[in-house]
Amino acid sequence: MPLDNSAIIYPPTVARYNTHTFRLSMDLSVEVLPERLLTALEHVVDRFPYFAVSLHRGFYWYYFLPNKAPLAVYPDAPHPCGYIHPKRSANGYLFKVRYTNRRIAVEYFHALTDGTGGLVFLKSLVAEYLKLSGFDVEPDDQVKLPGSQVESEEAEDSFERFYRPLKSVFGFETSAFHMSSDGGLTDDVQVISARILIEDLKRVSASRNVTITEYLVAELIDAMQRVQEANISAPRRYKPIRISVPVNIRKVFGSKSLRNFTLFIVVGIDARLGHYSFDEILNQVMHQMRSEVNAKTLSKQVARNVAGRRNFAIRYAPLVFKNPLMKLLSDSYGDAIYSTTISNIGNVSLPKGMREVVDRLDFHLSPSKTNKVSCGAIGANGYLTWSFTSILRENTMFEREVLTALVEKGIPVEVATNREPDEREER
Amino acid sequence: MHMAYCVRCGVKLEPGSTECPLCKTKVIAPDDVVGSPQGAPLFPASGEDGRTVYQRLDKNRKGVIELVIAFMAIATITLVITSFALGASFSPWLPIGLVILGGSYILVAFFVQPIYTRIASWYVPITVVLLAIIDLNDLSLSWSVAAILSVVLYWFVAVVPWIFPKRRLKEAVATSVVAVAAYFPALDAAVSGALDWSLEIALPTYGVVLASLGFLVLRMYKGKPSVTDIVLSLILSACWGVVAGDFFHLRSIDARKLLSWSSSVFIVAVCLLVFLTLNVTLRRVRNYFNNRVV
Repeated sequence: MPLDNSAIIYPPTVARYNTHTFRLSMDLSVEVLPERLLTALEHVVDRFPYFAVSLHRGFYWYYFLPNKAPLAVYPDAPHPCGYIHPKRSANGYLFKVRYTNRRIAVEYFHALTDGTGGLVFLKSLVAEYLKLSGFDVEPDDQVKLPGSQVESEEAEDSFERFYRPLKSVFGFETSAFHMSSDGGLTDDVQVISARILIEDLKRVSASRNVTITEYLVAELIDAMQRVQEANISAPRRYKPIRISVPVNIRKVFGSKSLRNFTLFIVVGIDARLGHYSFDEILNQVMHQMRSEVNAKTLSKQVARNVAGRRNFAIRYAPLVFKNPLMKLLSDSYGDAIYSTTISNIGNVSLPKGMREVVDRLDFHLSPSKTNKVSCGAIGANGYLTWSFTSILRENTMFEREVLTALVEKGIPVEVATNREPDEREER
Repeated sequence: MHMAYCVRCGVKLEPGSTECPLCKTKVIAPDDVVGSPQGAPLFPASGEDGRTVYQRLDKNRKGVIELVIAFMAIATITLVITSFALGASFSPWLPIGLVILGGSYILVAFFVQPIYTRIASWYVPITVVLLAIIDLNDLSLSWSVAAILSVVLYWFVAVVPWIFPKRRLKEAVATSVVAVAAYFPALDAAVSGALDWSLEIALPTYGVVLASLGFLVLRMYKGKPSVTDIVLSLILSACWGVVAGDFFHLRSIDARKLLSWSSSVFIVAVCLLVFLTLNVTLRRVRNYFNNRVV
């Protein structure tokens, strides 16, 4: 099975500080027994045959093959989003199920699926676990229990289906502002997690006629602007501040695929033109996002994703030449053009039977060497959990700027971290 | 629920926090305000134990296991019938033991978590039993004692260091060093029934090699010897070992000569030592005059 059109970039660009993984987790009010979780996983993987694959290197492209290796569940680790080795990490599987006594988490290599696909798998796994534990979970669109019909559309590469040939779809942006590596980097991903009442966010964003995602993006840009102004003394050296926002385009195009079907829209401000007030930023974000998220504009991006792969010269170039080229393109025209990423899965609806047991959801996105902090947001049970994942060993200025701005606007924020206190004392 | 706030950032801190994760400001508040950690932490602390649970038996594995057990049963029954048929001229003891142990080797791979230290730790006792059974065919243990000691030494030197966590490297190395030191007298006692060559030759020679290697480790710990330095130092340690072996052997037989066949190796060792000393000294002198920090 070939990789989908947006996944082909991930295997060649994996690096120490760029693992291309994400993690979804559910905290439960019932105890998690690893043996039972393994049984649930075995049942669920049968329902998700397109997830039971391993990654292989062909002459022209990477490809997936069915994986029959034994499954495993792993104890949770202190740092999320570690590298998933295609052969060694999880018996060749591209996802890793982790547990603590009250949590079930799944870490995915992004070549396998995106946040929506990952969420469906996690919800199905937790539902099956609860079923094995004697709970009665009601049916849900995003819960695919073992024994239900596997739809062929779930495994399709929807980019191919919705591809309309277009010419001249490539356009390049200038490089954006990136945080410096002051204090050093670490490949143990550092997390600062903020829990915010969705009602509070709704109240503030509704008062400004924007969505929660638009509001969060504006806060990120505003904070990044302050970081740039604090770190760069000469305004002539300022760079644009852009945020990459993955958009789940299943609803836009009407796809049921559980593989990658996400596009990234990049919104931001050009800080070279002067300081932007928060209202100006919000205005920019709102207009840019709304003009980007529609079927026609997104079709252009679909065309760009697919056209590259269909190009004769690229298609028949050996992988050994394609890999460095993709790495260069990704670094120069991918990560370089935006300052950070925020992926908002949205408010997750949980079916009856699961709702009562799930206390909390978390979503972590791996950062990269260029964009050293990434953000993942997910909502459930009235709370939005906003996780900042960082490879910066000590520097937390960006996270602080974002969260204190929320507090100043009257939104209570509760923070938690996996950063070691001793480590911080060395500063 | 008790909960502290950061005085600088204004964010709520999770119960039990000692400082704000955003600005590192210490939490100074009564215990009942700070609270104690509740529920699951954001992530488990490093070093927290947990076990990886593997799918032990899928259909293929189950099939192979059944096949192995079936072969073992058939072979055992065949051997028992053969021994009845042939009477006293054939003892099934040894072949049955070998069949069971051979099967155990295969079964371990299916039941034990596929981690080198675990697999090796299972194979070591099985091999020890196998060697003893083969040797016990004549109802006495002879050559197998030396072989068993070697297998145990392998476990201490090539398995135990990997059982230690990385941060306990010193303990791991010390275990291996002590195991090798204990191996010589144990082997000596097992083979000759007394402590003879081990005390007079093996342990002193081992001590000389350890001292030489210890010197190299010290240099690596204190400074940054070049790769050439390290390689030459290792060759030097081997040379000292050869020379020491010859020297202590001659002492044990009360020979008049200090060295016999290892004289040429001794000359090589001295040359290497002089070269290494000059190399280090000249580099220090050069660095001194170039104002470089060594």
